[in-house]
Amino acid sequence: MIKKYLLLAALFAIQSEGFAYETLKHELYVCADMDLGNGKWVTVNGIFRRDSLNNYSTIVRDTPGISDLVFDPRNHAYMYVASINGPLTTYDRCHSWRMGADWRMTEAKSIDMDSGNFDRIYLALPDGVAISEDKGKSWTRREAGLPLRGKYAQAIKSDRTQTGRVLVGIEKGIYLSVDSGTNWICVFESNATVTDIQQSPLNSKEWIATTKKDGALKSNDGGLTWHNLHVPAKNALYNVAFDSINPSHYAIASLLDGVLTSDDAGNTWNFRNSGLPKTHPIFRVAIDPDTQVLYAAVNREYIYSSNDFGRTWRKDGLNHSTVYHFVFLPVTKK
Amino acid sequence: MKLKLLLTVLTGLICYGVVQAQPSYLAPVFSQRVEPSAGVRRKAYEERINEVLVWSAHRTSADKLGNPDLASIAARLALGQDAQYCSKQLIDLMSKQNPGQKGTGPFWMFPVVEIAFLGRDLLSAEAKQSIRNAWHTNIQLRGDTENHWAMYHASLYLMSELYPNDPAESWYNGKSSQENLAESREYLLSWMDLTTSIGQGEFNVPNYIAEYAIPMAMLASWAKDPLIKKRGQMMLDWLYADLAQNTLLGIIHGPAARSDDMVVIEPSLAMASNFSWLMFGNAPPTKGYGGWLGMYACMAINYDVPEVIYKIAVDRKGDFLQEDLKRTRRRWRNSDVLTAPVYKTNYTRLDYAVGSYQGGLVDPIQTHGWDVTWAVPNPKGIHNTMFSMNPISSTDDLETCFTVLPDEMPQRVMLEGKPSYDFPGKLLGGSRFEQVYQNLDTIIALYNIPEGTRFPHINGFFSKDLSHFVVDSSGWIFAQGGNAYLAYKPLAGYTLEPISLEKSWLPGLPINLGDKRLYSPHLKNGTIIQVGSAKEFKDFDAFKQRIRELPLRVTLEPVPTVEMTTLRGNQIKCVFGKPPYLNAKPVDYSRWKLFEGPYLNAEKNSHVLTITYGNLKRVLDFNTVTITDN
Repeated sequence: MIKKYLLLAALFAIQSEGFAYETLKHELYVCADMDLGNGKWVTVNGIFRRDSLNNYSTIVRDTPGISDLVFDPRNHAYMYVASINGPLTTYDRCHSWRMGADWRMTEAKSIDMDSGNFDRIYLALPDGVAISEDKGKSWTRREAGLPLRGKYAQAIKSDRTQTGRVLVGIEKGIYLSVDSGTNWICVFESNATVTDIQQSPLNSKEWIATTKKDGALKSNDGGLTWHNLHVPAKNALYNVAFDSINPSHYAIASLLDGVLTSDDAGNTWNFRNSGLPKTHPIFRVAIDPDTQVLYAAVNREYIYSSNDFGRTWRKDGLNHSTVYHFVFLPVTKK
Repeated sequence: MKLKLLLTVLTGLICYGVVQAQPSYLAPVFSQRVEPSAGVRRKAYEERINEVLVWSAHRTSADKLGNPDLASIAARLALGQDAQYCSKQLIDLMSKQNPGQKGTGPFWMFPVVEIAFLGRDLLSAEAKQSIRNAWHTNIQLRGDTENHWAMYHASLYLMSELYPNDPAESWYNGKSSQENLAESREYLLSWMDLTTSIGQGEFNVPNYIAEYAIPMAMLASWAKDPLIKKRGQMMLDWLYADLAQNTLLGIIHGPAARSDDMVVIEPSLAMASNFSWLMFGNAPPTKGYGGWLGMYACMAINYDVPEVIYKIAVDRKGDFLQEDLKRTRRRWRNSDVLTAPVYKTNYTRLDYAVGSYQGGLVDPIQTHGWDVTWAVPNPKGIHNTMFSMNPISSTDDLETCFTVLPDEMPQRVMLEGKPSYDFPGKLLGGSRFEQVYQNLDTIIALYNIPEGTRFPHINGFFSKDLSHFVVDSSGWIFAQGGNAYLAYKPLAGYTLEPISLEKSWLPGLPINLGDKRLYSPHLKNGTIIQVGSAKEFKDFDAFKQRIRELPLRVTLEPVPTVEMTTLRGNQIKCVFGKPPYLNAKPVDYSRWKLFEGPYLNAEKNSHVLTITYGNLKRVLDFNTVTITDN
């Protein structure tokens, strides 16, 4: 009897989101810390899976300071994490961890996997770049071509269409490697941190980067050249999200400017803060690749979601959170 | 049932009484007597240790009776008391899994390591296993600060030695005992090498001294490797020798890499006061012994205060000048260097001390740049200091030293124990736009603040405890603190405001106490302070007259510039952005040694510190890991 009620309740919850859960091809994971008040970061921090509206469950034993996450597509129990303790690796879906590096690699910010070699993992560090060729067991720095100073790396992204090709956003700009990080060349010069780099899921040549002071940048040639998108924000931009269905949809997060969206591939932009908390301190945005739901993580508050690309918002869960990354994991159809 | 209740109440009252007792805190005036007998000194030292341990063992407040924290358990074990009770409580604490209760990070690790070692022969097997299990299940945060890493690696080192052959899967980080031991050892050696070559990063820290003393004492007490054990002892000597020379009647003074809002105006509130009290017996401890002293006291019996360090701390014969090299916090970005040198000056006399570093960014939140601190017989409640600063709030500065996204940290740090950061009235913090030169008891602080800086003004601190305060028509502000005569020259227009108007971030400071903030909103700015001892002058008027007569030329455009002859007859020229000149010669900081002065001497990159007091000498040689006494 209880099971029946639970099933009905679950169905109601799923229907109320406006789409059927059975059709989803991705699971949403969130790397977040939780502040339950007075600046006390408690140990429910870590990785959360979104099960439904206002229902996020933790999948990791209490692990604070997780910034980013990548799954091995061959085996989802294999996960690689960028954390305050440097790179972490698990081969049993978070039941046990290995800190892959010592104190020389700390406070990792971003992590990604090579598109053609799933044993190769790229890691962005506050003082450069490290790469593992053995599924996170060991890490070495590969920084030839990066500047001696100014290597603060906030974002690293491998090209999903070419093995060994990877871009990293650092303090001094955007750097490209086509040999798995062995050599780097500068493709965009800056003096303030590049905060995010993303590749379009629909057009592999199209990339967008966000920055602290240079606005949002777009590349139409696979990251070789970049031009400014003239986003009308006055402050630092935190990240960018592509829509996997509509190629003209972009969304950008800014702590001081909130959510910005474009419906025309970046030619014009709209602030989409109506319905969000007054100061709308947005840490991260994401667009669901299945449903086109737009997510916005309000710092130390809820994740909000929007079914109409930011025109209206509702609380989606994970109150008191600071979200560092949304990760959509392709999964077998349920 | 009634009997049980009665016993509980009685126990509570007894514990409450002990909590309140804290005899040394309640002592009316603290003795500055120099004790010549090593035996008597040691006995008094052990009595102080015992005082802390007894207090710490019963520190649980009345509403938490029967639920002691880790510090209480450690103290009870150090006293050899209540082993069965400690085992039971420990098992309970180690099994906590709820958010906010489950232990992680260096501040959980080191108390647990202390308990593990103190309880080796006292705790039950089940209790010991509960500790070991927690080091498997609780992911340990390494932290982001140098003191975090010292505590983290010392803790991991000792636990790896305690459980030497355990496999990788039995540790929280998936590394074997051997791997953890090697990694921790390597970090500790690396940190010691760095500190003994180009100086401490978190230098002269009023509060964080415990975060270094505790892990070093842990190594000195329990490391199996004799070289690591010895290094732990040598680093303790290093820390305490530095503390000794930077105290005035046991109270820490001068520039600090990291201080706090209250300590900068009431220096005796520092954790360092507790260490002065424990090690040298020359300062009153703070209420509750600052908390962590209880954890240190559990191991303090294993350390013997060297006579040479004791004498530096307590037996001052006259003036001394000590010039030392330190370093800034690690800079992740916005800088051409990973860490920059800090040139620290300490000029101490019997009646006052003047200390400074050259200005600039050391730590973006808690740096204290310079001050004059005057001697007082009982420092409790006394704001015996004077200084000025630029209260900049800058996301760029925070991003330089912390791996955060832009803009978000200024508000966050105020929720995380740094409540004043984004307040214009704060008195804590260093600035890129401040340049300081000190010659003996003269300070020249120049400010060249760009337009657009958040809080582009100067705050000067004027204590409620000053006497004879007068704003002179010459532009000097004169006052007396203890037996120190003080002359403060603001280089631009200002107002004097009650400090309470801007003190919402200073919890516990009574309103209208009498402290004043000098507020000067001019971008080209500066402060000159000249100090003298009352006994040098016929009276206060004579001091004022001497100051008025000092040759002084000030210009603020294009950059603040001061040319003056000091009370000591030295000619100084300071131009913002350029090296200072002393008696027509540029000050060459490149020749600065790691330590240079009558008490502490070390060449840069030498790893050798010579501690001297009269005929007493101790040489700490980290190259050979030896201590040589003369």
